[in-house]
Amino acid sequence: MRNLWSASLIVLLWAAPGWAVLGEYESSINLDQQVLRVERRALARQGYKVHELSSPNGLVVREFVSPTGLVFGVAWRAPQMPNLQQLLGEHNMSELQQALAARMRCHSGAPLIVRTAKLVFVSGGHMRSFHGYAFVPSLVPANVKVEVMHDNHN
Amino acid sequence: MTITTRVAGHRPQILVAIALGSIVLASCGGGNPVVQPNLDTPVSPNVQNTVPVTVGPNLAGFPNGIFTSVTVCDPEVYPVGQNPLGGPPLTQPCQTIDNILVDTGSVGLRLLESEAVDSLALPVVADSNNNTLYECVQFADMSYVWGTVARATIQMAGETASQVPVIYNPANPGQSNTEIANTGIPIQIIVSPVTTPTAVPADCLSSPATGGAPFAADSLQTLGANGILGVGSFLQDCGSACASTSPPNQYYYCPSNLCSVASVAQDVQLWNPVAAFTSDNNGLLLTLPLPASGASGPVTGSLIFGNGTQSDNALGQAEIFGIDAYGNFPEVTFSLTYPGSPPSLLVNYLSPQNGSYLDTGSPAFYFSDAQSLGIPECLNASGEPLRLYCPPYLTSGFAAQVFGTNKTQTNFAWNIDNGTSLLSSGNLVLTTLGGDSGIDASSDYVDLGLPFFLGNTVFVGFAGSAAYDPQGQLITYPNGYWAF
Repeated sequence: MRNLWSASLIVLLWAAPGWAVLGEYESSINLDQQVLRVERRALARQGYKVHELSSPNGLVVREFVSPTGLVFGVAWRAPQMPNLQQLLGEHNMSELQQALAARMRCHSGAPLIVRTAKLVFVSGGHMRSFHGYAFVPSLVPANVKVEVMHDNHN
Repeated sequence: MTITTRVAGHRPQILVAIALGSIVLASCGGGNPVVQPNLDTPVSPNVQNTVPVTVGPNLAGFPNGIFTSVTVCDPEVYPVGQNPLGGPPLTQPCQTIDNILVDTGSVGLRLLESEAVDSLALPVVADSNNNTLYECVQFADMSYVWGTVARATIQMAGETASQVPVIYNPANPGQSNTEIANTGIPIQIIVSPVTTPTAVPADCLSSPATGGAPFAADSLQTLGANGILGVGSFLQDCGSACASTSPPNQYYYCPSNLCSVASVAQDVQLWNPVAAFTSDNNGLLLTLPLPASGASGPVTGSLIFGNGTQSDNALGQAEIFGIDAYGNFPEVTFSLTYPGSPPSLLVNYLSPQNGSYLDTGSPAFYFSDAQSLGIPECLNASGEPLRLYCPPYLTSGFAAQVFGTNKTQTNFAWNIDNGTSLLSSGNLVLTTLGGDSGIDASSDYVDLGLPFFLGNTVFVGFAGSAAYDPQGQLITYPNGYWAF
């Protein structure tokens, strides 16, 4: 029964249009919460809002929302790499893929850092302890430092 | 079989030893299955515990890769409950696979599917409906491996992993070695998502197979090796999370080619093969010489199994750093100091957000970022940054102060040379290769990769193992330790 439920979620993931989060409106976080099966809490910060989603198996995702209601960044730490398609959304994922297309495609054991005009993506760590974040520079509010997305207490 | 009984406040007593070194805890608290096979520092009989490792020329031309060979055998498989304890002499077919990457940053043996591997016809792990267990593992670099979980007996030097150590389960205290003797340990056979008849689940392959990323590391060229020998400090590659009622997206059953996430017990997850050895299973040490300056030839060192179990693996004067629950140093302070000046950069990294660690599977020193350091990035032919450092000349002054969970600390420093020159030299042993870990102090950390291990002797103690401190007291490290 459990497996069937998971399978249906995967089908939903594959098929559902518009479950993107980064660059989308705050309401898209609801879908994230459903798909990731996580607890959620919201924190108000100076000039932005943070939704923290955490699952019992160690995934912590923080989604940063600007005063205009758009998600301008996502950060994660987890024992497994999170579903990036889910967190970044189709549009940003394709931006990331384009940026990576020119690179050598081999397992390197190195951190991955991608910077384009439209997307900044940082991924690091090792098996059972991954962390990283991604943001859309044009959506980051002018008075918010990008560092807050990776700080310990935000 | 070795049996350990444990009385609070006393050292465990080791009773009887016939063959298999798995330790059964006669009593444990808590409701969840507990794995603690290596709580003492047992002395192994005189088992050959050393295999050679090489850094240098390799089949895929991978710089700073450390490689060894692993012998993989079809395990003896008997009906449940009928396995002879200790097992008959191994007569099953074996294959020795070379060019296997030794990786302290992961756990479990993963082999590319090949004629040699296929010829063994290893039994797969399956559920009660005979569905094969699959695994998806994504790495931080957006490569992933996908494939079946099979059972194999692993041999390296005189060591054998022929079964997982017994997992003591309070709910099933009658479980014994007889049910699992000689069933092999779970390993992954990496298959190509293009040729496998089973569709790779969307959360593993989150883009079409032809897309740019994530991409399958499913060949010698894309994996950089014939396989990965994951021998980090954890005993399994996932642990209790994958056995919970809410497992992460890692293990799958795929009835009718539709994969769904599975909750799987720790004894069918990928095991650290060394932790499953019959002897010398509480850790390992790597000792590598420093290559002569400019030498391009292979550097040959030793991978020695066991910590403090034989005369060749004593910790001696090495300082022990307890690892935290995330597999990191709990804290690392990075500094940049130019000669004659106070540190121009001093950053404190805390685990897990900025978790810092040792990893033979990382080919460089990854630390800080080019902007914070004021060092140029290496660029590729089209002018894009390779995320490697390209100082104009050999640059010193990079240092880290690392802390263990046991409050030990030490300082060490390293040098970085021009990455483009190093990579274009044709030399595959690069002692001074460095690169970015993040993009600013908030996202940076320290990943001490293979260059850290050159000219060094580094011990990895596995989760739950114990070692003597300088005062002669036996200390248990629940998440393992590094010592150097």
